[in-house]
Amino acid sequence: MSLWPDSIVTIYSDTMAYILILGLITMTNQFKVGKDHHANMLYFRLCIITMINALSNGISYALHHQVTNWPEPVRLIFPTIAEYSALLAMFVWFLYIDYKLYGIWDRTAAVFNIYKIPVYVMGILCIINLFTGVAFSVTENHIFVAKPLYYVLLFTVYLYGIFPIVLIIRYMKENGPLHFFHISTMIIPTVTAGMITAFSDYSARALGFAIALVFLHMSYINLWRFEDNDSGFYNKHYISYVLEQSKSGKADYHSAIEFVTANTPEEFYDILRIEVPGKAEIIRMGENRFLLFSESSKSSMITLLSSMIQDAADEYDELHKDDEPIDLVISYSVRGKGESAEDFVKAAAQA
Amino acid sequence: MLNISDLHLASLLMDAAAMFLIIGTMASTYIYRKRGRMVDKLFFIMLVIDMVMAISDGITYVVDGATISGVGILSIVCNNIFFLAFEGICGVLAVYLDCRINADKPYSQKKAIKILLPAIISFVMILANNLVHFLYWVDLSTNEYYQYPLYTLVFVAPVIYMIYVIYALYRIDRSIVWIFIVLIVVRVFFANIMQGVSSTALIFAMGLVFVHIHYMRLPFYDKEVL
Repeated sequence: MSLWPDSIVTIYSDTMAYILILGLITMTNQFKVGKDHHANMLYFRLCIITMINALSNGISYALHHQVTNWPEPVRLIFPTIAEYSALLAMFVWFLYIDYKLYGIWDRTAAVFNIYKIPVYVMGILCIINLFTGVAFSVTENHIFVAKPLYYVLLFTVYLYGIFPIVLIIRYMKENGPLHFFHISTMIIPTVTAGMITAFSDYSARALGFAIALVFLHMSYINLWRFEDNDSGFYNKHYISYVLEQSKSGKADYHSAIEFVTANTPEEFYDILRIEVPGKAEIIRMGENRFLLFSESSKSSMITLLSSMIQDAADEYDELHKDDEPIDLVISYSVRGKGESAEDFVKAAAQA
Repeated sequence: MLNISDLHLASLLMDAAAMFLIIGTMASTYIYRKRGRMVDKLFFIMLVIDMVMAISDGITYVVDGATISGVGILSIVCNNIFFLAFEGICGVLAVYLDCRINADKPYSQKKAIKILLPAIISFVMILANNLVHFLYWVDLSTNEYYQYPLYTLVFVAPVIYMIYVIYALYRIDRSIVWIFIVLIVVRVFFANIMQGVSSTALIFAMGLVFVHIHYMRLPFYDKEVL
């Protein structure tokens, strides 16, 4: 059996994807990031589906130009698995991103129920196609032939690939930038691989998606380590990093504002997100305590910001008299002359 | 005219994938880079070397056999850069893992230089190849790359380093040793059955990713400072 060039390129690409994911599964199995069972489960399924896609796609391409006496349904098995697993991967990715952003399993379950119908329909189409070749077929020498209905399947795959991106962009517009989550590191390899697959004789889809999965996992670890799940702000472990940066002179904080609440509804997170300038870092030090570090020491800026946040919190308490009040208390400190950045941050954090 | 075969395209695809992995890893690990420890600096150096390797490898495959005048020199330069980077990244990886094994001891430049000796010897060999062609060369009349029988000398230092890498990983965590063994076996396997396709930069990028994901499990600092 001699391999044709398009087979060589694709097999190489799919093999690399397979190894990448195998390594990821080993790392994630060895190290369950946090106790987020749902996220771990979705991520694991995503890896398995991508491996199945890489394997079936590689086998399909290995058979290119090889003449066999197999009946058409048998010839269609691997291409069918490859095409449908691509759709499943996009769907599970969508569910994973939804859950990671909103953290509500019931919401993700609802998303699943709404968006599962086209996935099921495409699954039925693939099964029917095995026996009728109505969407795509494979010649006797295993060359893939796409028919008009195939492009409906392809469109569905790309549509489900776009949904998570739209979700992320919408979430960032509502809630501000995502820490440690570099959306471009996931989109660029996936889109590039998709374009190579669409416009050439080769397939690099699995490899592109495997690369995206790597960065998803890295983001997840960083988020788990440094981000407070409820508010989306940094958690108190991040203060160690701030201290080191201050010690080495890479961060030069001159003021710290402390917010202490009696009660912390989700609306308070929104108040902070809206009022605080983008470059300031908010750290949640405890259930009802937040610290904001800034490199500015202008008392006018501190006073203005504090009064805006105080006003917004008071307005919330006024409008929600039946709920537990925020009862916000704001205090601030400014770095003294001769005081090192490190000592200032430590004092502010321990106050 | 460029003369890019399908095997060359496969190599370009592998190099492009390596670049995606490297750039994304740089973005995802910036917080570690800002931390500024020696292991973080060494890891970043390896990413940069791998990027250089991927770019130079890609260029050599694009210009190999091209009928454009002057590209032969470009091919020679890029091949030199590729092999220097290949030797270098193996050496730096060994220094990096040594730092991780001996995390409780201060970094020793003398020790690092000792570890880098095989790579330094390889550097001299590769540079000497430009004067006396005994490893590889580019025929300037056809702009085609070819290897001499002594080409296998290029792999002496990397083999030594890979043995040390396996040992070091075994000491750090046995669970990730097998991943590296698979990467090495796959690279050697494909080099034999699909000659003309290069995935060295991608294999290294994948290895670096796994090494760092493993490293990300550890506490960010040795102890909480508050």
